[in-house]
Amino acid sequence: MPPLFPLTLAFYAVACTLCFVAVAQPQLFWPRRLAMPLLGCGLISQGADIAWLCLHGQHPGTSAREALFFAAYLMLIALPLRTYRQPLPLLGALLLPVAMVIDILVRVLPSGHAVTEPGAAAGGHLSRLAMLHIFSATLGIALFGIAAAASVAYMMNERRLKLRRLPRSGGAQPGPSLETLDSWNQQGIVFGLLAFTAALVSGTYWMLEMPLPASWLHGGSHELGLSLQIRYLLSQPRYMLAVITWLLFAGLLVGRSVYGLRGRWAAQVTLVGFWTSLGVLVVYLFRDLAGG
Amino acid sequence: MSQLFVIGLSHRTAPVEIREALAQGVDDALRLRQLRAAAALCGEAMLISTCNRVELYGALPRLRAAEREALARLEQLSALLVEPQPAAGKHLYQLAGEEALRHLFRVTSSLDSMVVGEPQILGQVKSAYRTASSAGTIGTVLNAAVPRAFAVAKRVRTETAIGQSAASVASVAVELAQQVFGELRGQPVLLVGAGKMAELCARHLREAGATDFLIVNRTLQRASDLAGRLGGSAHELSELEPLLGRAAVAICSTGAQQPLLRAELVARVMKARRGRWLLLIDIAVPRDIEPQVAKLDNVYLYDIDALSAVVSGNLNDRQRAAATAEAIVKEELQRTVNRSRSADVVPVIQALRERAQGIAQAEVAKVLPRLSGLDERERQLISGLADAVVNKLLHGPLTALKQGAAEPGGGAGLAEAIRRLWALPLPAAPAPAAPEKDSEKEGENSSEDL
Repeated sequence: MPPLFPLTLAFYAVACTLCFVAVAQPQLFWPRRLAMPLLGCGLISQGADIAWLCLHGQHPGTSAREALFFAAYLMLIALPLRTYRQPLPLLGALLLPVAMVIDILVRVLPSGHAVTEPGAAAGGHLSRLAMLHIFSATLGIALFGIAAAASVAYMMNERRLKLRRLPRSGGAQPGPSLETLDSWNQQGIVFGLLAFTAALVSGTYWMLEMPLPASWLHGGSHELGLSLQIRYLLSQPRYMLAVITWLLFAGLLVGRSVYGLRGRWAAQVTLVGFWTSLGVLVVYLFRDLAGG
Repeated sequence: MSQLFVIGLSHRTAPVEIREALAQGVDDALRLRQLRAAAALCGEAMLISTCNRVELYGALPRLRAAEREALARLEQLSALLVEPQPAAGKHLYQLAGEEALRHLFRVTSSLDSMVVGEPQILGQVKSAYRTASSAGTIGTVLNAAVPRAFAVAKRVRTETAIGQSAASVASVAVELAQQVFGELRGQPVLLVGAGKMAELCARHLREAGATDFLIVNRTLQRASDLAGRLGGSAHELSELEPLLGRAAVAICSTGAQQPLLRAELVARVMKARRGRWLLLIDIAVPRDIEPQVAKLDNVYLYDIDALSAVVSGNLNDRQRAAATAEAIVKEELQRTVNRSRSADVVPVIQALRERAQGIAQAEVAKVLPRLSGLDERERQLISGLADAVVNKLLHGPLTALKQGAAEPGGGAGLAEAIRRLWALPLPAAPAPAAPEKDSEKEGENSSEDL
């Protein structure tokens, strides 16, 4: 376990509590004022932990555990960058619990095995392709996380407006408008999809470079090598989930630009897409634990 | 020694006809003349004049001996204040000392306003203070009280939510638009009907940044008139559908007996808008927009009942915040009064010490030349002896004066007695402080409580 992990969790827990207080009691200034510096302290602490892990050979490319840990970090680091002008406790209240659960999960579960690939197995080092795949996937999922948090905030605000309950800001600045939250959602998806596309392409090439499992080679197949490998890829749940994620977000962007699909509908699709993208990492995590 | 007083009438004491009559035909020149006349009577004056209140603040002698004189001046000042409408005289109230200061704090903090927490009054009091400063009618008392009232108002605004939520249908409309679109600059606003309420909403939206107004009315002339006032464009009712396709916010206020915007029409418009958000404010009775419209995606419909419910909830919030604000006013009043009582006696204490020590040192200076053969140490001893005698003699009176300052009225009476007995000079009046520039959103020109 990285040395500053308990401290990181403590910072996040207090910042998260303050975000919840700020959401529930918008007339209080101090929770939102305090939450951001505490989140900043947590990020510094987690950044130091990630650096310590890298120095000890456990960089985010070595296992799904570390990739998840890094994805949670990226998701949170985008929060103060996105909202430093206008602290938004609602986004903090949505993202911090998710990040904390991921952090605790990856630290509590046993380490499992490192990502397997021919190069890694031999020398313990990942190829550039594998590194590109893991980092871009992690970044993409983190950006989808931001888009998903903006979507949840959108849906909550939208529901309140539909029910004709104007927020009583009580001294606090009102949160971002529906239009702003929707544009955050769109930006998160656009940049997330770029990263995720890079991850999907590099992942495909990476898997094609790997030897097929013995069961696929001795199954009496008469197919040629490449088509057999593609069939193998499509049979992998993590690969299928990644393709579904990509299709969902790409479809959403097309729907937005061609048919003007936005608002609640876009927010709901974003949430589905984010959960499927998380599913990819979870499959990796349990594959690691199973030693596969 | 002078104290603050206020004479005035407000929505609490005078009906609207009286307030209207007082406001009609009153221009800046008359107010300035009243201000100068009041200052001539009582030394200093400040006049607050809004559609819901006319108040004259000034300073009058605090002493019992001057009570008759003060009452006579108050009569004259009252007559001066209601000069345009003498019948308003019976609605006047007069407050002095702590009560007047408390009233000033409450007025400036918007606790005495018709709509508690409205932001305009602070700007109006600041404007009145600036006018009085320019006219040279601010003296020691007002110079101490009014800036203090600004500080109290600022504290009330910072520490309570008294002015944070919208308290009128028009301001709720603005808040809604900001919740949906954020920045209103560049968002077209469609007015269906050219009624007063729609115009008021439009004016609020313009203050919030909206610039593009599309006005539709059965009578094109009325639409053109309103477009001229708001700076928008007038259109025929037949253009409603394409205009709705352009607008971000639509405010409906026609007298139509049947809904103008039916669900099918809005659905069609939303398709053409490709899902772009649409805020519909329906302040007409009977309603101009079918309630089913609210079910459409990305359409937010608020009718007059929904808007009123929001306003009512916000006003309840303000009332709750007002209780906290009253506690702040009470605390600040106590602090100011204590400081003022101490300030009353400090100049007397200083003057008394200076006078007594001056006499003692003058006597020492007379005696020392007659005593030959004294060295420096012995001269200092004699000088010190004179100072010690003065201090011992003054200890009792000064202690009584300081103790008296902590009691209501006690310090001022004792200080005045000592000042007269010792023929001490009156303290010089400090120059008036320049009122700070308004950077806040309170509008000086908009009237209070609107």
